[in-house]
Amino acid sequence: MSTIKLETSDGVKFTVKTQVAKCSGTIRTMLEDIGINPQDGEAIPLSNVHSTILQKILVWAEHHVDDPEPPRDDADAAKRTDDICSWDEDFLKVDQRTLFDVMLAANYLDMKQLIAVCCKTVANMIKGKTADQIRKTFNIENDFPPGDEDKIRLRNQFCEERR
Amino acid sequence: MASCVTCGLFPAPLETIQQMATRLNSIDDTLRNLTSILLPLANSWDSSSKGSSATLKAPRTSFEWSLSSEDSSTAELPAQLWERIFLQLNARQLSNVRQACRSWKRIVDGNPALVGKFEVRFPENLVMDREFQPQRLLPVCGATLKRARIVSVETWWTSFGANLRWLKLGECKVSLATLVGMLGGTPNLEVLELLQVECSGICNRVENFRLAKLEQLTIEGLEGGVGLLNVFGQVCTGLKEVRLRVELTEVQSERRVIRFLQSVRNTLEGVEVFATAKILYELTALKKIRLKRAAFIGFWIDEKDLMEFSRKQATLEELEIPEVVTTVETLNEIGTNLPSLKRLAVKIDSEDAVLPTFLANMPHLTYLAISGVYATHQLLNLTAHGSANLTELKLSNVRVTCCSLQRFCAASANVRVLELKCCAFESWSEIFAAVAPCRKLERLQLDRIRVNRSDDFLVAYFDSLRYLELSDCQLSKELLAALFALCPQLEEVYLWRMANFDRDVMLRMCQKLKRLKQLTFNDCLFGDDFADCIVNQCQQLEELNVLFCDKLSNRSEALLRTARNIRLRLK
Repeated sequence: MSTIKLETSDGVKFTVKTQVAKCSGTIRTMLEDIGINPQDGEAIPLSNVHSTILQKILVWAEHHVDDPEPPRDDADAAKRTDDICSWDEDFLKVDQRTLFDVMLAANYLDMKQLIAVCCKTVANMIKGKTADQIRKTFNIENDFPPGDEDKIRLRNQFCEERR
Repeated sequence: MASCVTCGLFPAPLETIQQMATRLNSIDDTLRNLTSILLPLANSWDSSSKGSSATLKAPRTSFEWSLSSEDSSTAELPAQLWERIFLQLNARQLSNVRQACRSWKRIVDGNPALVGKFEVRFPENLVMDREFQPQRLLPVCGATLKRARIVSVETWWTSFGANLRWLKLGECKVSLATLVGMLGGTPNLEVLELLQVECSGICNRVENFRLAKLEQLTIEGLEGGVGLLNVFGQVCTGLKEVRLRVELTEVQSERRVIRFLQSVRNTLEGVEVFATAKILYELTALKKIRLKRAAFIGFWIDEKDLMEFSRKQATLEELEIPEVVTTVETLNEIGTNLPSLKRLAVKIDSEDAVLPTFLANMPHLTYLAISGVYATHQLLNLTAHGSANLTELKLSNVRVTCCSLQRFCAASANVRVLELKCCAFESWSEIFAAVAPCRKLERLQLDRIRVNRSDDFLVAYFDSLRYLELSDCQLSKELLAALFALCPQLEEVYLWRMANFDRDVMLRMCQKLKRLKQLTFNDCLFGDDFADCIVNQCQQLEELNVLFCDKLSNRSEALLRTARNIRLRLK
C-alpha cells in the first residue's frame, strides 16, 4: 500500500495512505498532473495548513475514503442542510475557530465533500436566528451607521421569498 | 522548530491515525500550556528591555495568548465560502444575514444567485404615479405588483426593471400604453405573468424595443386586453411558452389569438389556450411549428380534431386535456401518434369500468392524471398498467376497483407524488397498503376520499413522505394518530375540514413529527392547547397557517408570536 508524506505549515510531517491523500483535489493534481513522485520520500509541503487541522482532516478523509463520487449538480442535495450524516455531525462538533480552520484548509486542499458538509453546518448555525442572534453567534460587530439598520429592515419588508 | 513527529510514530499501522491525532492533541495542549507559562515571562522581559518586536510590545495577558488558536475575532472566511454557505439559506434567513453587518450585506447583494432568491413584492393597493419613488430597491430579478394602479412609469423603474428576469402583475389597473412603457424598461425579462389585469386604451405604436429574452408569457382573464397580443406578437422574438387563460367570447379575439400564435410559431414549444374548434384547427394547420407541450382548456373541441392534431405534432411530450371527455379508443390512437409522450392529463367517461389500456402505448409517461366526470363515479381498473417511469399520479372523480391501485403501485415503484381527489375506495387500509410499495413517495394528497368499510389498520412506514394533505377525509382518530407515527420524515402537513383531528391527535402528531416545518389548519378545530403543543414539541416549525378556524385565543396567539421564530398566518 503506497504512502506519501505531507508537511504542514508548522513543519510537522505526516505519512498518509496515497488513497486517503487523494481525497484532496490539490494533492491529487500534484501527484497525477504535475507528476510529483511520492516514492522520492520528499514531503509535499502544505504551507497553508497547520498540523492540528491536518490531523482532523485526515481523520475525515480516512472515514470517507471509500465514499462513492457524489452526483454532479444535484440541486436538491445542495438545498438540503438536514442530510448531514451523524458521523460528520459529531466530527464537526468543534469550536467555531476550528470549524473555520477546517473549512479554510479543505478549501485550500480542494475537498469538495468536506467543504459542502461544513457549509451546511454553518448554514444550520444561521437558520432560525435573528440578525442580532447571528451577530452573537459569529461574534460580528454591527457596523451599520445608527439608523441605517432600520432602513435595511424596512427594505427587507419589500423583499420576500420566491415561491 | 520543526518536529518530525512521524519518526516517532511510524512505521505504526496507518489505522492509528485517530490515535495519532489524540496524541498530537495532547502534545499540542502541553505546548499551549507551556506557552501560557512562558509568555508572561517573555512579556516582562520584553517590556524591560525595550525589545523591537512589535507583536510583543503591547503587554498581553497569558489568557489571550493561550487562547490564540481560538481567536475571538471569527467570521473570517473568504467571501467565496460565505457565498456557498448563504446559498443554503432561504430568502427569510438571507434577509437576516444582510442585516448582520456591512460585509455580509455586500456579499449577498453582489451575488446574483443570492439576490435572485429575493423578490420585491410591492405593497398591495399601491398607486404607482409620479409621487411614488421607492428608495434604493434591491437589484432583485423578480417583482410582483398586486392590486396596484399604475399611472406612470418613472426613471426608477428603468434601473430596477433592467435587472428583472420575471415580473408578475396581479389584479392591477394600467393603460395599455403605460404597460408597454413598463415593458420597454425590462429588456432582460424571461417570464411575464399578467393575471386579471385590467388593461384599458389602445396602443397602436409599439416603441422600438424587443423582449428578446422573454420565454414564458402567461395572460389570465385580461379584460379587454386581447389587444395586448398584438404588442407581444411584435416584441417577442424568442417566446417558447404561451399560456392564454382567456375566455374567448368574440370571434375577433379568436382571430387575434390565432394571429398571435402565427407570429410566434417559430420559437414556440408549449402552448396553453382556451381551445375552440377553430383555434385547434388553425393550430393543426400551422406550418413550422413544433410543439412539445400542449394544454387545452375548455371542452369545445372534438376528439377527431384532437387525433388530427396529435398526428401533426408527433414531437409532443406533454398533452393536457383535462376537460375534454375522451374515450379509451381515442387515447389509444393518441398514444400511438405520440411516441415521446411524458405527461398526460385526461378526462374519461364510460358506463363500464375503464381499463386504461392506452398506457401500454405510452411507456415514457412520467405524469398521469385521470379524471372522471362526477365525484367518485367513474369505475377505474388500474390493475395491469403500472410503469416504472411514472413519478406522478393524480386521480379524481373515480371509483378505483378493489386492489387495482395496489397492483398498479407495485409496478410503479418510482411514484413520488400521489394525489387522490373525490375518489372512492374499498377502505383506508386499502389505500395505504397500495401506496406502501412506492418507497420514494414524497407527497400524498387525500382529498374528499370516501370508503366503503372502515377496517382501520396500517402496516407500513412511509419513510420518504415529506408532504401530507388530508382534506375532508373521515379517518378515525386512532387511524390518524397511527398514520402520523408512520411518517417520521414529514415536513409539511395540510389539513382541511378534518373533523376528527382533535387534541389527542394533535399531541401525537407533534410528538412524532420531529422534522415538521410547515403546518396548515384550514377550517379545522384549532384548540386552545394546540399552541402549547406546537411550542413545546415542534422545534423545527417555521410556518403555521391557521385559516378559517375559530378565532385563536389571545393567549394562544401571544404564545405563538413570542415563542420562536415561527411565521404565523391567520385568516
